[in-house]
Amino acid sequence: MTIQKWTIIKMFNNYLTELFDFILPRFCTSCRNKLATAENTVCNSCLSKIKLADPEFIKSEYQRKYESKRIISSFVSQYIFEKDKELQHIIHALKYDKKFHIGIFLGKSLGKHFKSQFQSWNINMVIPIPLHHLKKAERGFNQSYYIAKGISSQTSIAVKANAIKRMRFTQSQTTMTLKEREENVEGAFKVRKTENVKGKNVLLVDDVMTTGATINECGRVLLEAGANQVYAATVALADF
Amino acid sequence: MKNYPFIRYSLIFISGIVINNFFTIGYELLVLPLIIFLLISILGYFIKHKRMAELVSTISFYLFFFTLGNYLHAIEVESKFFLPDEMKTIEKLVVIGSVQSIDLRKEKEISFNLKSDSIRIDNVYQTREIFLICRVRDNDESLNKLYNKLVPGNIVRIEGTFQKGREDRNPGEFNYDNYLHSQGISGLLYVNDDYDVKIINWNSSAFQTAIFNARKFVDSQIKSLHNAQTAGLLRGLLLADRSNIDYETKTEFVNSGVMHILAVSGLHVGYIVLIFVVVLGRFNIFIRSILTIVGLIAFLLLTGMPPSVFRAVVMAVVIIMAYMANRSTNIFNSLAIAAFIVLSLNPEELFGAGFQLSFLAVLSIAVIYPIMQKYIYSLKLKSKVVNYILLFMGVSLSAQLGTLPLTLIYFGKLSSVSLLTNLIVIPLAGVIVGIAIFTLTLSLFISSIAIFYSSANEIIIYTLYKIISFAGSNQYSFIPIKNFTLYDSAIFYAAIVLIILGLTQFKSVAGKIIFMILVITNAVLLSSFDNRNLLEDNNLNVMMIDVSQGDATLIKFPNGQSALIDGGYASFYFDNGKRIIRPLLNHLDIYKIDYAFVSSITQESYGGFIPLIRSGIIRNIIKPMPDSSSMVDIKFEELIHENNISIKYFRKDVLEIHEVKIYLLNDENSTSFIRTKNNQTGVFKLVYGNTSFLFPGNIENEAEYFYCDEYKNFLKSDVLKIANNGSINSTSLEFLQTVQPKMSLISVANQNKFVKTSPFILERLKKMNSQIYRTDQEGAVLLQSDGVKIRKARWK
Ligand SMILES: [Zn+2]
Repeated sequence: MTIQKWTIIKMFNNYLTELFDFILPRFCTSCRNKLATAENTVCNSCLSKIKLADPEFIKSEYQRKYESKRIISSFVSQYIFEKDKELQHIIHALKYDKKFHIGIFLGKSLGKHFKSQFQSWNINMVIPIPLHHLKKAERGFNQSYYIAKGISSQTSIAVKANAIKRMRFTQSQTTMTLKEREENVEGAFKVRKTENVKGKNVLLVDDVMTTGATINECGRVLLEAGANQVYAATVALADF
Repeated sequence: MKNYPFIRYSLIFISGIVINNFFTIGYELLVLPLIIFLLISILGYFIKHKRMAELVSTISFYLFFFTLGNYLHAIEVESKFFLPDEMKTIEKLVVIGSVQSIDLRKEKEISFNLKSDSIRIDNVYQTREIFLICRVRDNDESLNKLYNKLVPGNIVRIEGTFQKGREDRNPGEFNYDNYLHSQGISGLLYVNDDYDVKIINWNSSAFQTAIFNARKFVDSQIKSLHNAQTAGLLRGLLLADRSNIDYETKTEFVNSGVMHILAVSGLHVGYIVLIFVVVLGRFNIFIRSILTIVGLIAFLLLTGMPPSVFRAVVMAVVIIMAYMANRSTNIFNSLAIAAFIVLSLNPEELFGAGFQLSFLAVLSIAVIYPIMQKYIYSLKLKSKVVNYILLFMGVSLSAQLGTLPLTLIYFGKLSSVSLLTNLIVIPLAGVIVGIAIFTLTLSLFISSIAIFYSSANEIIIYTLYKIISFAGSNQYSFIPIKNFTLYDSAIFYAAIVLIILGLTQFKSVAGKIIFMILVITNAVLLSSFDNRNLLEDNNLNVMMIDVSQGDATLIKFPNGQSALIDGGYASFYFDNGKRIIRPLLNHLDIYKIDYAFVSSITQESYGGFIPLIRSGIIRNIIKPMPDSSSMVDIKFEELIHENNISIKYFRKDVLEIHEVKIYLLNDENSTSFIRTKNNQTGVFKLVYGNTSFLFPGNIENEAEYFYCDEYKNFLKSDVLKIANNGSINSTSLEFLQTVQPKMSLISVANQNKFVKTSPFILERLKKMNSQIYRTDQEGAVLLQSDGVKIRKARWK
């Protein structure tokens, strides 16, 4: 009975989407082709072209960037970030064209993909890597927040967007080396209220992980504030 | 287009409205096809993967939209009821009905919309549902009392004088009656005593009343914080009520090409959105978008939901919702959706200037601006500021280019300074709206600081007015372009399309330039084919102008020179010279009056001349002999001298203008007594070939006898201008028998209770078999003489 009810609602929902697509069509963020009714944000063809990060690679990256610091307990990432490919277009549209829906879409996909991991980690809260408030005002929103929202919608773990504050307006990190990045983010974050994170298992969320410096620094302040375990998840791993 | 199917359906829907406007089909006949087409398209949609079914489904879906346009238009047309066309004025009309919406208080009047349940004409009540605009005029105290107690929803009993809206009485005038008709309004109900407005049921519609009270409140806040000039403009910008901005200011706004600032529309809605985005910067996107939509709807209600604001708000909401739903916001598609929504609710709007101007402006920005943008970027300018200014001018120019034919059709002038004025005025208007909203909000909490901001705004608005007045009063600020027709518009748009194609197709700069010159010269040539002067060259044109009171006759001689006989009445409320004659002269491409005949120094004759003298378009004045006992005459002479106009007095003389002879008949040497002012009036006769016209000024019976004696058969003329609106004190039988006019011209206002043509005079003229032309019956009357025959020309 309930299954029947769900199929009816789903059917109805499909017709509604089709009607809205007739009036206000949707396009794939990457290839700009019209989306089919069942597709969402990115078309299936583009989605299949994005390189998945295999568990071995994630493991080696974890060992390379986090293990020695003993801050991040475990780490997952869904995709490999490749220059001038689909995922770069998508993340660019998320950050610079204010397409916040893409963040939710990517977060949902991330949450679904690693649902069992997140459950086994016993996470209490999802915290997006914060933007400095000036940067946020300039860009309009924090893209990591919407990724976190997407994860939350799949795992029902609450998002605490304001748990960490970014103190300094750090420079753009795209051209820096690991060493420079670590210095750049040192002392950039602060936990607002330590009682909020004390004894909690936290999942840090960001769009792309490059050197891990930002995530490490965030994790450090969280542990200092008394967090139990800090985990990290990103949409993609930069392969360099 | 391929990706946005709704654009096609919206266009089909619009074409359905247009077709129904030409071939009226009753809506009852359209219900069945509407349902059938919808059913077929739905059925076809469910039979998937069959080409035939898909084709039939698509076609019938198109037909559904086409029929829907027809249907909605038909319903709108048939749901409006009007009084019969021949009822132009009804005195003592009693209307019982409900108050719809009440306008903000005007200086000397309160006006509101009224929907009647029943009306009483000639003591007989009849049930009739019509819409009227009711205007109550009384002393300040009574008006205040009424303004404070009346709310929308009240059932009232009102007694007053019904009048149809003013039609186009002279060439080039706005037809207010047509406009009201398109709004579903039968006409105006004038009430001169608040006692005649009785509230018989205190019903009130809560929603409308809340909006009205909010409007009243904001209005009183604006007034208490600002001086009159600023308050007038802010009322226009924030509450969409332009009644406190005077006619001259509006003309200056038109001349300098910034009239769109006063029409609350897309620009203002854009500013409101901008203000919300800035103020709500800290909130997340969902909350911000929802609050912006709520704010826009509040603004829409506060402005009293005029169509212009509704259109802009619909468009903004479509764009915001599309963004929130993660859907594409292609501007053409948004326009198509907004047009569909607006026209579904009111299909007749398609034929209004406002709808056409606002949609065309956005459309042309979407089409033309990207080309300009590309060009400006290709210049690779070093200075960021110059780049921004150029881009901004690009937007402004795109909108102006696209709407040019409409501005020419509706306003008849091309502003030559508009690109510059808009560059200053558009950002300034944004600042003014921003500060005003901030001031008003602040005044709710700390009024002492609010006053500081309001005075800052006063300075900005003062500057704005100065700039517009400087730009708009210069005679080079605009180029009058008359008789711009639909045909010209078609050529204009064809030329634009060709130029855009040419710019993208031709590779070499020389090729582009040659192509552009070719297109423009051809367009100018083609559009000059249908140009025709109303006042024909090489003929003598005599046009009796329909002035609201007094007389005015315009003459264009065969050699192109012109004369004006009397300038109509001028009062504080209505100056015929300014409001009727000047626009008419502009419309007829007449920029100087070679001879101004002032029949007598009475308000009816000389009043309207004063603004014409001041504007410097008059070359010579012919007036009665100076009267040192009259202060008015002394002042008038002074004014003439100040403006360096040469004076000639009415005394026996002949003026020759090309082949036209003007015989001045006044005889100052005559011993006959001329006691009253009306008998000192200038009397003259115009002769062209075999045809003749007699202008006896404001002559009365005694003087008529004198002229009959003195000139006898010489007075005989084909056309006689009847003196004093056809009053019984003039046009004696003896005078008529001497003049024997084949045609008689009577200037009498159709809406004036006190000045009426005497039925005896009309009877007298009929008996003489003189053809009578009256301004109250046909508006301006144009006679043309080729020297052999006089014929009446049509101008409507
Ligand atoms: Zn794609």
